[in-house]
Amino acid sequence: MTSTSEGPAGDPPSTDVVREALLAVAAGDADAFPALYDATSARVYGLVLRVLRDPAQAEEVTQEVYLEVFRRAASFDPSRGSAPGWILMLAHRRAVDRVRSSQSQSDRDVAYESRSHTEEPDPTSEEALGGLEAQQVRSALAQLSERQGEAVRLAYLDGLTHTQVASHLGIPLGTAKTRIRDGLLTLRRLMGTTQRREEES
Amino acid sequence: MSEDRRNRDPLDHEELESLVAASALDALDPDDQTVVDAHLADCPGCRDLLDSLRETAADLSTGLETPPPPRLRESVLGAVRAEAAAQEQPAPATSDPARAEAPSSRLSRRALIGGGFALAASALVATGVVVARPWRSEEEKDIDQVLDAQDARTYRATWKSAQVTLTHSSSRSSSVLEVEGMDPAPSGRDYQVWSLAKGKAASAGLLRPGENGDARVLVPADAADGAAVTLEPSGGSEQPTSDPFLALDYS
Ligand SMILES: [Zn+2]
Repeated sequence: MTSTSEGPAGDPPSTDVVREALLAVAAGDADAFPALYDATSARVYGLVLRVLRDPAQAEEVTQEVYLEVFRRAASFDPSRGSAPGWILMLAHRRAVDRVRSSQSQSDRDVAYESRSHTEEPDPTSEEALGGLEAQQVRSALAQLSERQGEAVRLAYLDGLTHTQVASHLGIPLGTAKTRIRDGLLTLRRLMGTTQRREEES
Repeated sequence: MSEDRRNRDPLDHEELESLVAASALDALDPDDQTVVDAHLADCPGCRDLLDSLRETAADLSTGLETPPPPRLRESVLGAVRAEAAAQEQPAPATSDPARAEAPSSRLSRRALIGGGFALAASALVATGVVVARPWRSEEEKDIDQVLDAQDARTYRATWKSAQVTLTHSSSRSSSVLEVEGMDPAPSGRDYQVWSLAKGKAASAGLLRPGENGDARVLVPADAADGAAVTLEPSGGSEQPTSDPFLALDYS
């Protein structure tokens, strides 16, 4: 359970804090929740906001995410992944559920078209990327082929299903699936995620 | 990843891995997600793949950090405090009159599985909401009291590789559902335990087998006549959305 050393970047310094707070909450210590919130809320809200592109909805969904984190803390299994990864997984799923349930898909499609093929990486993130880990992510994204990166970003950051990725890019579904898979596998290698998991297990 | 999977699954394994990858991005249509969930239940290699690709996906949110408005902090922490306080209280009494008036002596004898509890999901009406219990030590205490109760009665069943034991104590108005050697629920799904009374289901929380496949859940059993387990979307449902794959009757 040592923290990580997958590269000069390492994990964000908050990873251990997050894990300890999450495990404390899981053990019934609700007083640990504010620390958990403080260590993760900018990442959770930032991701949810990026997917939803609507601050009011992002606030609502972020609130739901934290209640789910509180209720399900006991099911966090440190051997299966990091604590921030677990929280961001819940956050992403809820954001995507909201995208798919509440918004008219045609509205969103128009929005995608108007953004055209976004710069690399997303302008918001370009601005905010600052720390060492961020540099690592940026360089990993840069090494990814433009096509793979685009497919991964459309799926993860815009909340598109692989079917929607295919139709948005005008490519066959099988091609979209392959690009998403190869893109993620490449990112995993470039960012050393596997290594981190193994060290944490 | 193993050969036998390759032969059994209608999709070839590489195609399944592509679906697993898309699943790590929450990018699957419901039909594909069902296929993946079924495969994950049988393929440890793909479960590992999914875990590790989820970490990779989470890394993609690096750089998007945006501090939320301060009022959100107050709102979240207030809601969590309220929920923590509620969990320290005994479970709220159900407002369902049928439950309230049924005396505990009316536990009926019913056939195990296939009988009274193979109810159509639509016939099951939830009288509670999902209550996850971070307060493990409290629950563990309650569990021990049920298992040690003088009037404890034990019912056993098997499901796939799992040994299932339900221990019911009338005096404690509770049961304990224990599983051994149970596979984890497929990705994106959870096993959910229900207390059944007169054909109505009240959630008793989620059943999450640990590394060794073991888990136990305290099941409120006041005036209940059995317990059941269903497979639900991750996090559980307010009422069952599928037929129970396991049902035990207090007889
Ligand atoms: Zn597999």
